[in-house]
Amino acid sequence: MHGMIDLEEVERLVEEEDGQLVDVMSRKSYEESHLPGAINISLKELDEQSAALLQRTKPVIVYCYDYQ
Amino acid sequence: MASKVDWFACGMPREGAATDVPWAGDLVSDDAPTCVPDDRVGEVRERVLASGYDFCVVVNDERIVLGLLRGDALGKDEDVRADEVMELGPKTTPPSEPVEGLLEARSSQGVKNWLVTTSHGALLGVLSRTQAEQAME
Repeated sequence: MHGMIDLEEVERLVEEEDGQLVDVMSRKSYEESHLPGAINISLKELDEQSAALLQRTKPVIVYCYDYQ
Repeated sequence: MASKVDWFACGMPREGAATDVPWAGDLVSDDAPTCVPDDRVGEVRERVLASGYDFCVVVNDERIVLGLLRGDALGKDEDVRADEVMELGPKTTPPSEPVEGLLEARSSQGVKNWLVTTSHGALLGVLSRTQAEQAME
C-alpha cells in the first residue's frame, strides 16, 4: 500500500511501527538537513540493490524536499 | 508524506549540518501573551502588563495567528473586543528560518520580535531580537 501521509502519521509510523524514513534527495541535501533517523537513498541511486537496505516488514516513509 | 520543508516548517526536529546553525524555531519563547478574538481589551491589557511584552497575539482555538494587539489598540476602552482593534494578519516567520538571515534581512530592520508559526499559521512562539542576537554572538 502506498500513498501520501501527513506529519502526524509519519510520527506515528516511526514511533509505533518502527517506520523507516528515506530521504530521496541528493547526498548534499541530506547532509545539510534531514528528518531524525532518516537514511539517504537518492532517486539516482534508488534500485533493487539500494532498496534491499530496507526491511520489507516495516513501513517505509519516503520524502523529498517539497510537493513540487 | 508532505515534505521535508513541511516537516521543518512545523518546528519538528532535524539532523545534519543545519543543526549547527540556529533556526528561529530553536529559540522561540512560548510565554508571549495571547488572546482570542472576543476577549476584551481590558483583560488583554492586564495580561500584557503582567507578561513583560508590549503586545498580545490574537489566535483562534487552534492557535492560528489572526492578529496583533499593541500600542494604541491596548489603550482602547476595556470592553472593546480584541478583534475590533487588532492589526490583521501580522507578518510571521517559519521556524526553519535561519536566525542569521533574519537579523540581516532588510525587512527585519527595526523588528523587536518575530512571530514564529507553522506552515499552517499556528503560533509556536516569539523570537526576540535580543535572543536572536545573543545566539549569533
